[in-house]
Amino acid sequence: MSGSMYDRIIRIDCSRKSSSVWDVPDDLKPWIGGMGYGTKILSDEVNPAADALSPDNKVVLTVGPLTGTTAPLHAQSCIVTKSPLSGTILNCYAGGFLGAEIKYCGIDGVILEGAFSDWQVLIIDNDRVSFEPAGPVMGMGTEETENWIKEKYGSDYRTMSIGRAGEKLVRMAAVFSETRTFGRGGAGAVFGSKKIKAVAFRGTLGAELADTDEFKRIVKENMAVIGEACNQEFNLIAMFSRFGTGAGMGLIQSRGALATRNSRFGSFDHAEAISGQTYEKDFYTRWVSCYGCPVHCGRVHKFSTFDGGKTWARGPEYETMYSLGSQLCNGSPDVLAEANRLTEVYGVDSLTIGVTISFAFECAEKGLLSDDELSLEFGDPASILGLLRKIGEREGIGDILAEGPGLAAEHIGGGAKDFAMQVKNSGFAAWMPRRMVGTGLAFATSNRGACHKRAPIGAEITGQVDMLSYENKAQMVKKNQDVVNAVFTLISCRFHEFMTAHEVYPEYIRAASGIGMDLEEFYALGERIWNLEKIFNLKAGLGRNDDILPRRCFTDPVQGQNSEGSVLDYDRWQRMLSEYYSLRGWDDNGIPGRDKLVSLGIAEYGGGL
Amino acid sequence: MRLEINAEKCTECGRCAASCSLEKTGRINPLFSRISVVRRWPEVPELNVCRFEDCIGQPCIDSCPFDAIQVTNGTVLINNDACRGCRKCIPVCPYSAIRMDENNRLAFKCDLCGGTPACVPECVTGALGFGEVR
Repeated sequence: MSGSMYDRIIRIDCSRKSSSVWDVPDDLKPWIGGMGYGTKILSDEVNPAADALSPDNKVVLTVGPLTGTTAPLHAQSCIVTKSPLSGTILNCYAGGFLGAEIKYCGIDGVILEGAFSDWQVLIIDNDRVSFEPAGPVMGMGTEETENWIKEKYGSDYRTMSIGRAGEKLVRMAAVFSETRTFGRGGAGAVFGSKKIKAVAFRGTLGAELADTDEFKRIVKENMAVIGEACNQEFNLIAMFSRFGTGAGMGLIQSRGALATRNSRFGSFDHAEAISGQTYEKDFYTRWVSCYGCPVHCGRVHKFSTFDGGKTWARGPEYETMYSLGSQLCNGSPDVLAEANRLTEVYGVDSLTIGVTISFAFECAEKGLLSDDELSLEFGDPASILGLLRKIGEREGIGDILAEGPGLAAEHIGGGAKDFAMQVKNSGFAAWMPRRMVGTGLAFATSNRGACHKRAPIGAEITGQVDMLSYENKAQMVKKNQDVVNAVFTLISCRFHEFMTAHEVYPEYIRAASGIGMDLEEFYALGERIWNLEKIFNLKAGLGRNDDILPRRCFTDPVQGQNSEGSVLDYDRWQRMLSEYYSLRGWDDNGIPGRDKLVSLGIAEYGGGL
Repeated sequence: MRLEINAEKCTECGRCAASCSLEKTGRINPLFSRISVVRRWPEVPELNVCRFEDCIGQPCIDSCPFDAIQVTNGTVLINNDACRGCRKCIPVCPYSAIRMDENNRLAFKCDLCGGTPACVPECVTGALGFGEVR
């Protein structure tokens, strides 16, 4: 045991219905934990060309050295797997209380291999795994599934589960954990392909620290910095703390960057009606936190219009206010809340499904798609909720759309791919590349497709840098990607890095798990992970042509207030992409050079590129 | 001294329980904590911790056959030397504030950390406070 890391990972062989404890080898430990562990393990053990929904794929679920400790904003756990949506290596995250409970089991993670022959619920007590038939919960929504587990096995279990979409291998299916979501990239479908309906954890061990006094000192200082941020009037985190993640709606609208009507407009007339401030004002609201988090950006509301007999729901979060709100011209907070709740019932990524629905609505406008029951009109509640259900069920046109917006567009044809707002088949997160050029480059070059977690969003949306400029954006994006990948070895919430000096991370690692590294080594770790992911993707068959935004971004000026008719210039864009590759030490096709891989210490992975 | 509990302000982050277990056991797991937070969405959570002088009748004291629970300097405390682990105090506590350490077979509860509770400064929303007896 190394301080807060247990150096043990449970391997579950689904095909043989057996489990064993794997001692973490010494060469894995410098990858710190979280995304570092996941990326290295998947790269070592899964053929990048494997079908993501075959037993050859694996799911690596990890925690990090700060998980389950008193370090604030470190609630998340991490899944790394091959994505059935994007065909890339995938990392995705869920907050809540799951990560801490995994840590209390005395393990650093779980590897799920192979596939069961019939559906299972996995019950994990410390390092003991039992396999329970999933019959009674098949077809249930995620919350219902998790409640069943808690009733049957004990309320102190922390759970993760899939809904019907995961069961039916919908490529945007997510894994849920008590309303928090491993959202992007279709991890829920990978669970479904392995016939895993749910996993529950209960741990009776405790997180320990390499240097408890030093750790307490760092936490105290970190908490003071965060507390100060939360008390400032014009601080993003303070706004999230007061009004949830939907607090920034007005700012984004004022910058003409609120994607609306399938990304044709940059502002939405009813933005205020679906903002965090409105939910806080018009509905019963309780502030809720993930494990150990003083920011409490989570919201539990009571609704009455569309609640299917329930009286409350979690969320929606900002990204959902865009994807199932403005993007669909849905200005009703009740319809949005119900759509958000349905994503939990079916177990789907609210981002990609919203983008897929908006794509389908535009297809219908252009006569490329129709449905017997639904009008498929923007803003129509029946079409929004109905199509969400059909995708979740793979029913009718939902079956094609369940493949993801890019693949569905190829199937539909007629130029539909030009306006499918996706990269690598993964739906756009809530930002407009035409209005935020660096964020666009981040969407295009992300190793998991259209990802907002490693983009210069804050700098561009607040005007700290010129949002329309192409200058220095390649550098900003590269730096951002490397830093965030490093931080995701600790599985810090993205909001943590907004408020924390980077020098604190190596201090945290030393005090928690006892591993010494300086800040430059920490950044290099992030770059190492980025390159290892890139190698996986190249071997999976992706290339420069996949690092591209949909045609709309280069041809259709953004309409609406404050959007300035912005459109991207294709040639300047391609030059920026080449600049980005060059900064990364990659050739013009995006293939890492040998020198770069040697300097990062991962030359052995570069064979066969 | 008394703990002031304001459950409406609690966001269920559990920093109180994490810091309590670290302070008391050197390890972090809410199972080892003297305070626990029970989610009841959409309603306010239960905060289970000893209410000391605010507890009417303090039934734990009389429930102990070994006189292990006593008021010392105004604070209800369990004397580990006298506790036999009989568990009689656990069900009588109206606040579910007494738990069992299965390793040493002794009951445990909040002791206000001797006057400077580790949990209170961790609560950023003011759900937990510490003050004089009314």
